Amino acid sequence: MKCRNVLRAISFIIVFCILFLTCENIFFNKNQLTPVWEKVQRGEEIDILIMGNSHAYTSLDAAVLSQAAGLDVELLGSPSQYMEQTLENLKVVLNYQSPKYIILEINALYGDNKEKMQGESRGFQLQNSDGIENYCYKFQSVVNTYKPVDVLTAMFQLVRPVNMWTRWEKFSERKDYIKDANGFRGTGSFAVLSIEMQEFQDAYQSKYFEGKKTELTDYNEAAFRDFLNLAQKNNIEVWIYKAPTTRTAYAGYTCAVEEICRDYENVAYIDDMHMVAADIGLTGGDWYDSGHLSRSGAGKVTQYYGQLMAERFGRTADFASAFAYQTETVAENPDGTYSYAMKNYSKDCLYQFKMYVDGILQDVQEYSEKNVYECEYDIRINQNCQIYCSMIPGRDADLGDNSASRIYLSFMKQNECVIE
Amino acid sequence: MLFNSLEFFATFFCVVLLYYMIPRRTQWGYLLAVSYLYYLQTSSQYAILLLFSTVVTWGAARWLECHKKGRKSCLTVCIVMHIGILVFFKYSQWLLDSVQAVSNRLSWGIVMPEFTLLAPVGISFYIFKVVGYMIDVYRGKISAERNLGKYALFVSFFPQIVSGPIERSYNFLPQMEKGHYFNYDTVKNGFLIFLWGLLKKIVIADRLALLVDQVFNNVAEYNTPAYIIAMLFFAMQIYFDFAGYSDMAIGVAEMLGIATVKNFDRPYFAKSVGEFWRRWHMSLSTWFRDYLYIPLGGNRVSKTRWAMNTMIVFLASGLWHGSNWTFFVWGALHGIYQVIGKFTRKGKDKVLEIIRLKKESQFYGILATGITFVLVTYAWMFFRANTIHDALWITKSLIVWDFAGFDVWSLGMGKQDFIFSIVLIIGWFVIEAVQGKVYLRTWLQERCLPIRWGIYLLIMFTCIMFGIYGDLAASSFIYFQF
Repeated sequence: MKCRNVLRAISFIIVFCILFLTCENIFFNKNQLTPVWEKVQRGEEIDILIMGNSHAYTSLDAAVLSQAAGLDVELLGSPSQYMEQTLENLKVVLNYQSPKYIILEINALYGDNKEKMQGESRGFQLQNSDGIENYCYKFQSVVNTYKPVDVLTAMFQLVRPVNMWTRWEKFSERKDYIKDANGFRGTGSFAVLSIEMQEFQDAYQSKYFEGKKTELTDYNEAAFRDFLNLAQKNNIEVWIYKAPTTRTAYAGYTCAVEEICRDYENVAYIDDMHMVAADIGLTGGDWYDSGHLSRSGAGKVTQYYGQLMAERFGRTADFASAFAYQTETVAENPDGTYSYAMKNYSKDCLYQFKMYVDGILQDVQEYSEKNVYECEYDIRINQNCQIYCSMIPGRDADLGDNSASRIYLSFMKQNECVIE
Repeated sequence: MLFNSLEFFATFFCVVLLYYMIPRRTQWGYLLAVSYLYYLQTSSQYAILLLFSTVVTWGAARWLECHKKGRKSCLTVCIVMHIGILVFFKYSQWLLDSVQAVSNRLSWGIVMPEFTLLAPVGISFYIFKVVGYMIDVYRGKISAERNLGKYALFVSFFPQIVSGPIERSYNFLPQMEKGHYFNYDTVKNGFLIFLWGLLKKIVIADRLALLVDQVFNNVAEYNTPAYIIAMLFFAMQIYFDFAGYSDMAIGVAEMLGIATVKNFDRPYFAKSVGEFWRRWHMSLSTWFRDYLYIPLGGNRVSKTRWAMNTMIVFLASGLWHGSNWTFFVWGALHGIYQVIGKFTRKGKDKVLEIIRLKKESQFYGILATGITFVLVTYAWMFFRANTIHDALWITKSLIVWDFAGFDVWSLGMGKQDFIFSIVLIIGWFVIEAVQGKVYLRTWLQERCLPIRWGIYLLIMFTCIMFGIYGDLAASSFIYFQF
């Protein structure tokens, strides 16, 4: 091959790479994890780091816990994260930070590992390394947490999502969407029957008290032990935290985790929120789905956990002004229509409200600071039509209309019975 | 491992790199190993069948060349055996189900056995390859290949094994006699053809599939306008999907220095259904022409016999595509188009004479192309429909129009994607119209470097940015099922 051709080929590859990286940065899709990675990498001091998967970021509002503890609390959680990823995240964090405490949500221990990731979860799991800016650290993390075939996809978003080009229209506004949510992601409400919840709770507690442990898989136990060793080596106190769920009985796993933790001096607390669900006051409406809490559920758990943290750090927790979660009110009007009002209080957010009937958008409001949405809709038109309102706070904006921020109207089921 | 997956890109890069580094006399052996590894990775349990078919046809062809007696019997046994394998794997369950359905309807009380048998990947393609090779050797058109390894490579060549093109041995095997030097221009051209195919597949075909799948999988929920849009989109989808795959296969082979047969030549510009078949899936059309249509008598028979032969060829072609009555009807429709076209030719000429419309005129060209497109698109509807019932339902809706409550945005495709798809289709046909007069690759090579690079990068980034990646896994190709 002629020397000129070699030079040409190399030059072409260089031009391609430059353009590729430019596009990767322009179209980079931020999620709730991104601002936390940014903060970690800026080197701003983080005192308490919450780590784990979706169960972590849907159940604890780190901003509220910050107020409770009087320390900076950040949440570094990504969807469907497995323990190997949590371990690698800690390794990257330690390049920039020396957190004093880590709250480890342990649902990550019950999931996959890199050999098993597939299907729907795979798309979520690939997001875990997205916020790591240093390509060396990122590559190291990606190689250790994904199969070789997924390395390229995990490294670059550009070769991953569908229709990257549609981001153009969001691009100008997107900067304003992501506010500092400390890694928390609130989700909408979905009602779980209280009786179902109680049955699960009873079954969980009885299994827990029997103390029959379920062995963790080898790869999860190894990654967990590595995590605790690394934390111990860096003088980090680890608090084990288990978010409540309403379906899968993880009591046996929690017992196994407790047993492993006895080998480590740096594990200070083991808080299983399942055991105190009644104290927390969780009801059927506090769920996004059977495994994850909604905003209101997260509010209750955060308040409970914040109280514990405040006590731990000798503070008086005052949550009255710190947060209030979304409220929905529905009232029947004399003419048979319903008035619906949704209000959301959160920290420094812009809101957008959308109203759907049977999946078709009926009303949309621009992003604004207005946090109340009121509408009237004659639902007698079709008793079984699906009506729901979507409230998208700035922090969730990039998740789109099909995201977890859909809120199903609580009166939907009542209608079917009440109106002829 | 699909051509449109990152996994394939990375693996193939290493394959090409090593291919040009090893001694040239070992290149075919290396490609054979890669081809079998590729097949094992795709359809491991049936690699033995591929090997069996290869060894049997290689041995039989060698025997045919050395013997004068019993040649016909040997050929017949080989063909029957291979068609039998194809029928067994691809059609046995369908045949049993069909008998069961007839039995149920007529209350015969027969209970047919049920078994689940996955057809080996690419079986329709490689069986046709080996059968064609046997017939060519029998006819004395080519000599039997002496080297079993090279013949095995011809049968299993990885860019073609899964979805064709159905290569002819006399094109392929001579290229294995000599090794291949690295040639910058050949590799570059191969890469560009591959890229062109990738663009067709992931940017256009996979985007159109969003709407097509939604409508054809929920036929009862839609009405006339939705069916028309879905039919038009499917006509485009299958073209861009299969032509895209063929381009990728041709590009991959060219990067290895191996020239392969052309498979598509702007089929939707055809002015008759006959011409359409000379432009669509050319390697299959010519296979049927050479090994079925001509042995049946071709054109040199009576009109009735010719009509029968044509129907046989198109029904066989329909069934080749799949074990479903929808494919059978699709093939039958194309056969009927051809027969009616021939039988009404004189009348058509007279009408043209009366209205003074010359066949060479532009208007006639546009009209004939339009009519051909409509006929072909209607037949595609049977090809895509999940059942004959669905296809008949759509046909009924095309006759008794129903536009009530039609909402174009409820067809499974967003507004942006819909408009973008229309723009892509129109844009592509403009390119193909130009390509009829100017050969684009030559035109591109004559441009200065910044323009060339700009176009290359534009194609690459269009694939990256505008491609549909499905649920993060590459979408499979329609023709893989055949």
